[in-house]
Amino acid sequence: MRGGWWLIALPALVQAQQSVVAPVPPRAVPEAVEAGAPPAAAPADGDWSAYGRSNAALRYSPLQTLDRDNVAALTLAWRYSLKDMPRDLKARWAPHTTPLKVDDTLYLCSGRGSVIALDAATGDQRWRHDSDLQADQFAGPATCRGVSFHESLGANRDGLCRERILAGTADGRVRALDAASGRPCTDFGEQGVVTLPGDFSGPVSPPTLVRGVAVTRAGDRVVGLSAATGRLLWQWPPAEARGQFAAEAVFSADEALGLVYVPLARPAMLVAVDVTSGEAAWRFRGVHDDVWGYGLSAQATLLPWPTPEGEVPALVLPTRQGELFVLDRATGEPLVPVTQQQTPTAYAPDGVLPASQPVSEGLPGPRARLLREEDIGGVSPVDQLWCRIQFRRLAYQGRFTPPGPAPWLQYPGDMGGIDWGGVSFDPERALLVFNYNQVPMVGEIRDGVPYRTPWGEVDRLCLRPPHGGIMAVSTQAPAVRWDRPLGRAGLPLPFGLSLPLPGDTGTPNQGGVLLTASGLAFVAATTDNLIRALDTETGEELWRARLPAGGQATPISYAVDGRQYIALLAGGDYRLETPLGGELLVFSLPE
Amino acid sequence: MAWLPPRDPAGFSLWLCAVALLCLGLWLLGGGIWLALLGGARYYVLAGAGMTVSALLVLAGRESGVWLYQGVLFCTLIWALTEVGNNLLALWPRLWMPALLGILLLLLLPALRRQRALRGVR
Repeated sequence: MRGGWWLIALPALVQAQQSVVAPVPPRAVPEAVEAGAPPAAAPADGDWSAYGRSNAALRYSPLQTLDRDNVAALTLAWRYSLKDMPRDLKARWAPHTTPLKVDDTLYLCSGRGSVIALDAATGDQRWRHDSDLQADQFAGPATCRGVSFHESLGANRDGLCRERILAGTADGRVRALDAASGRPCTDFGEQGVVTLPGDFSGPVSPPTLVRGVAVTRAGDRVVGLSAATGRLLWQWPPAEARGQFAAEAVFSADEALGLVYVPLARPAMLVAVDVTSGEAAWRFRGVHDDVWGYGLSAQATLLPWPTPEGEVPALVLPTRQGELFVLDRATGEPLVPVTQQQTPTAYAPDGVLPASQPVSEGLPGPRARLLREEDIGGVSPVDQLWCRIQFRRLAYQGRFTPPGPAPWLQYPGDMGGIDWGGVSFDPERALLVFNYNQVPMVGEIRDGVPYRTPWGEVDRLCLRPPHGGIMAVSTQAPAVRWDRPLGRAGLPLPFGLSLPLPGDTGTPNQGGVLLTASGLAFVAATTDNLIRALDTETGEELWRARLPAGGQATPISYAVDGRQYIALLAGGDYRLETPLGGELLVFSLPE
Repeated sequence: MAWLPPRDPAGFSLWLCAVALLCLGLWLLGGGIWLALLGGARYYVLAGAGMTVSALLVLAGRESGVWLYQGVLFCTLIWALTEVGNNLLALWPRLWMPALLGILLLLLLPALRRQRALRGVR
């Protein structure tokens, strides 16, 4: 389970599927556009109603009970073991799950796709809908980023499913379950299941609910389903343009504008899709002609952006290159100037690469610096010399080194920069906080397709540490507020051993940051299997706890009866080689 | 000459250290020439040569091998500091293995002297 698992040619492995969605007239108007703001648009203070808490994806909780003074006393309140990891899925196990919390219940899925509801205060299981998927039905990794909550207006025949959970599956279906009982919603699709058109592969993301429409990925397209009936309302792009599209990231959305923001992995482009018509309102290219695996993987985060004319509804689009693009939410116009940086042109598998790439010049970000021979680390002079010889032999021309017939060095690798954890935004302090990677990769062309593997082993990279960090960027006068290594690896020794060090050396990381109004930043993500609480204003570590498996997921915060909780799924990630598992850990202050 | 491993524990440890140093030196010398030809750092050629000679001297039962190696180690320290400054994480892979071998050789110096006395080698 080493470097080879980074190979990224998964979309080709899908099996064909028959669509059983009933044909519907295109451009149908969504049935129930609800009065008042739905939970995914405006969560209650103690809730976490959507993947990024709301469709704005700030990952910011307004709760304040837990603060800088008492966080050191945080302890485990309860834990729930999902017990749903088949042996033959271990090689692709990376659940990445973020739970939801609505009223007094937590909703989450397992990497295999089972849906589970738990009492948010005690962890008692309310209901569980077990997945029947076997390993050979997974075309990609065993990942379930989360489920979605929808409150449906209008009475249902059986009195169920006014509140419902919508959950995707790894074989391209969407399931609707009654939030209170877990029973299938019979008015949704066929007995609570809609089979999506298109061939599904890759990670399962929660549908995004806007104006009563559940927007989700279906193979090479994005579809809008009625959250009430499961009817297929629209598909994007139109049939003639399909095939070359792929989306991996979770979507965000603006309820008022009725736009869903879809980051595409292929091509690396953000598309704002009108949820009523299913047409693209605007598009923004994050990377031109992506041959580096820099497809957009992070959710866009919606925030107000200060301009001379006042605050403008904007979004921040993070990229694996470490750029933070700031765009007008309604028009897609850049609010921080985007310039075109000259890049080396050369051979590419399907033609000539463009001579320039977009750069968000006005905003600092975790951009990769030019590597030099002195930056090479390793374990001892033995492997360091070998890494140096490789460095001199690999093609390397800095950022956007083009793939070529000879092996090349790519930095950052295809896990970022900023990967699927995205960025978080503290509106009180006007701070963007995000973790990022500094992992170089070696690329080579195999059968006309570029492949990338980490340079060295994941935990024995040829580049010296730090291999990952966490950064806070102020949006008021765009500048780095603080930036520090994240994750401890100690000093490397042979045979996989290491000498412990008290401080963070910076490890690769996957998963996002939770911010709270009291100025705390919670992050796991690292390969040291720890969850940390940092001071949002300084980056200082205030608390940490050991996890039973890799914490490659984004933590959430919620409250029940005035008590604040922090929840994280420790599931591990086969690519980072962290311990695999499936346990929801919930922390709070002792009563 | 003590090319074959001695039977006593201290002598055997010394032999093992010298062989390890010889392997490291030969790799740094060979790989270092390759690296230098590719336009990379030339430190490895010099260090590799110094380590190889030191190891051969120790295997031949000569105390001068130990002291030559301490000189190589000192130069390695200076080189590492000029290349990466006081960055502990970057100094570590450059220094720990050469330093460990240097310390072991110093600790085994009495064994070397005893061997020399037994064999009458100067």
